[in-house]
Amino acid sequence: MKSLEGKRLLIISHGHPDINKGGAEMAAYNMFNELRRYDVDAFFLARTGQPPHGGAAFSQRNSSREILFHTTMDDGFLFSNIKTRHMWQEFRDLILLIKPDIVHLHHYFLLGIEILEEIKRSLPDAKIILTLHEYLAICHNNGLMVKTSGKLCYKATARDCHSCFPDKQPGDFFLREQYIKRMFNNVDHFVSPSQFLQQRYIDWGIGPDRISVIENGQNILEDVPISSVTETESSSVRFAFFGQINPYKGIDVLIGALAGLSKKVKKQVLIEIHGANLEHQTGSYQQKVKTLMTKYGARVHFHGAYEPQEMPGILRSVDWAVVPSVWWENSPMVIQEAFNCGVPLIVSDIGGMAEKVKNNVNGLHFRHGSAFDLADKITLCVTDRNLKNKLVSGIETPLNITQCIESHLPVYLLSDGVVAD
Amino acid sequence: MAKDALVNLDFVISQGSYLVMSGWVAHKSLSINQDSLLVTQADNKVETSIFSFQRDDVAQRLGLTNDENCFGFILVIDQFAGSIDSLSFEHSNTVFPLSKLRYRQAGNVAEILSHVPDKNEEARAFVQGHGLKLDKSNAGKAIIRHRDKDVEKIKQLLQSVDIAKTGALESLGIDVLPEIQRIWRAKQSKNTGSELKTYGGLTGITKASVVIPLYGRYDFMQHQLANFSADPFMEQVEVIYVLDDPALQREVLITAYGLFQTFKYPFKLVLSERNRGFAGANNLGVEFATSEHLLLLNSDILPCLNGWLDQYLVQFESLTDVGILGATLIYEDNTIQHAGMEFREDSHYPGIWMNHHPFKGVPVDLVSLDDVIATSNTTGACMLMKTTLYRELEGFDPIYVLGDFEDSDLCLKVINHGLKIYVSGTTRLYHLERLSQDLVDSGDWKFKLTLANGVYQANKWRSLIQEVAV
Repeated sequence: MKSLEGKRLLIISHGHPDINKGGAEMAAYNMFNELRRYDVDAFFLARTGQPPHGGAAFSQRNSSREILFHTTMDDGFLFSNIKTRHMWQEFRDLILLIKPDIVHLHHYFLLGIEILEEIKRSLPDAKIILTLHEYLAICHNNGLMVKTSGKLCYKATARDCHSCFPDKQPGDFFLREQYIKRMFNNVDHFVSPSQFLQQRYIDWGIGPDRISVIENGQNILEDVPISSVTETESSSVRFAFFGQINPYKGIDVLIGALAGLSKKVKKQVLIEIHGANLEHQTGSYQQKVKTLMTKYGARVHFHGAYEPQEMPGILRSVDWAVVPSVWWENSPMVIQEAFNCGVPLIVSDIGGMAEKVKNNVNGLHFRHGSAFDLADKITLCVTDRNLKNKLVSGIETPLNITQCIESHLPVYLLSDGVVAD
Repeated sequence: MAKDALVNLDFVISQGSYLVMSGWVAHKSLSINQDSLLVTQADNKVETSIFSFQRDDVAQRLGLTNDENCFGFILVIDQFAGSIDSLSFEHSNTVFPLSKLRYRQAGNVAEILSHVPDKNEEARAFVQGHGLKLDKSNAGKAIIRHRDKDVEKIKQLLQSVDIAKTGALESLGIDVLPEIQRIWRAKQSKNTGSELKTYGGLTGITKASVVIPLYGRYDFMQHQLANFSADPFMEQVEVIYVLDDPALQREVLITAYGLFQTFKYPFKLVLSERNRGFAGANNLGVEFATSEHLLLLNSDILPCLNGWLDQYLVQFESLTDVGILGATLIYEDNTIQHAGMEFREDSHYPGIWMNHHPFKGVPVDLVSLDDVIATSNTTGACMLMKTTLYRELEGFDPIYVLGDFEDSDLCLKVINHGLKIYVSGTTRLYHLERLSQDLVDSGDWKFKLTLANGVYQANKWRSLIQEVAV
């Protein structure tokens, strides 16, 4: 970290993990804490939807180095925030006060994409780094690159996007792309946690030399947990799902896989759902999940939400982690966390999941969206109990948070001509 | 025959056990009210509470004469279970399954409220009365316009004309045109006030004044200013927006200030007290132009490259007999929208000339365009000329009712003045026109209005058009 001596860093996130525990928020905050551990002069700014003290744009949390920004976008199509003075007055004053040399954003969503323009204009010499966590700049459908019909999308074009959202004209999608690219021109370097996402953004128009791949860093676990599950031929095999419950996470595919299992196999399978926010989903989706849970209640255990620090303990109690997402994903946190705990995964055979988990090396792939193919893979895991041990031995220790920061140094110090050790 | 009973669902959102929907209901002949609307699920009536309000925009679009033929609604169902698609609306003995209706998921309840034109406080109280949470939202209020009485009168006059009959054009020209122009002129003479707002100061002599009318889609200003502020040449250019939409003044002032603060690009904004139409808005904007060169530009035009206006002006200066230099306009898929226009005599209505766009929709790379193309006519979406010439010719003729032909009319004035019309093949700009809605059926009043305006242009310029038409 020596090379960061005398440098001030500002890490910006669209949420604070004390309040929102999304992957991007966690990644940003973990980096901030690690930088502070090495006494780097770092600040953390996170957007919040909480009400501020009367009229204030900011508040502090935990320490004066962690600042909450009480703002929100005024345009969800462009991610624009120009109508209130939050960006061009309050935020401007704040960054002129902090005067960071390096600003590393983990998002612009909810903050307002003009934040990039504001930093560039107010601090022309500051280095601006933006980590991309999904495909929001490319895709209006929550950045999923999934069509509104549910089909996977391979390439956004103004005309096709209009087909997904008939209320918006092709010209509107063209303008959206131009506007976001105009704002992205302020960024000195982009970071992508996966090669898959990097390629999607290169195809979209970000120059290949402007975007690097750096995986999110994992916390170093104090005692390396060893799977405590007892191995007998008839004991249950535990398959666990972690994360938000929404239609794109494919939890219905996972539970639906039970329908494809033989009676004998089914008796040996337990599906453990560790997830939150089902109550925030549409009524019809809640209904769908609840119906599935009722149907397979005996084999599906619903555990609800969990805190990040509980994750190693929970992983210790399961045999396999499953990532059945029906969108591409980028680099799902659960994959690195599972590897960190020595747990192999079964994942959809697309996007960031297929990239991070090597089929038959440290996990298994199944055809995305196919409950029956997943059922076949589950059957394989149950009938061949040695498979797990074989795949566990294929797991390599994932990038830890210290290594993650070190990998960022060349990006942070690019214009100084300094190459990190 | 089109159905008389109509239901449109705009938004749906579920919050907890509540399902909230908004939309409108209409009947082309019967009076209806909120009790007329039923919701059923598997043939059973569903308990609903409904808040209703006027939807003038719908009444106008459907040509309804009676306020009781139509209403907007917010509808709340408590303890909703099952799929939304299992519901049906029912009114005036007609069933509308939700599975067949197209609707949007609202982001939050506030978004639904932002589309209620009037009675906002009552609407808010209605949803809050059901215990629904309102997320804080910065979303601007959707603009729903009220009926324009003059336009309604013009519409009625036109509806009485049967354009399928022989001699329809003569009848339009003699019986209808004078009356609709009288209404239009009277409308033009009212509320002629305007106000100039200046954002930032322009220093030194500017290379051009760019006049851009805004109507409805004021967000185009954001796209253009983001683009202009990244082009160093544009620092020497005076940009004048004309808000020709008084209903939007508040939103536009907020946006304009925020855009100036964000991009630090100076511009002028002229607020018109009333809606003047395309011709009147441009004429108003030109009053504030201070440069020798004038560019009339539409708000839905976006440059392809930096330095475009520099090149465009150089080209203009290189032409000795130029009156207007147009540009090549392309759609977002890089096909031609405009590369010059021709006067083309209408095949069904000989005696009037329509503006024809050659190569429309053709990939621009397939057409080898000369650097400068001599033409008889170019679109008002992008016209480069001398400010003095525009003023001398008194700009666009505002007599074309609701806007039609004012660009070709100005081109004819320029030709009549002894100068020429050219289109630049090298200045290429994106023109983001909407996709066409439905094909205009010949009974439509707007089509009749185009014919009436065409009759006016033909009467005014017949011999000159015959000279320059292909």
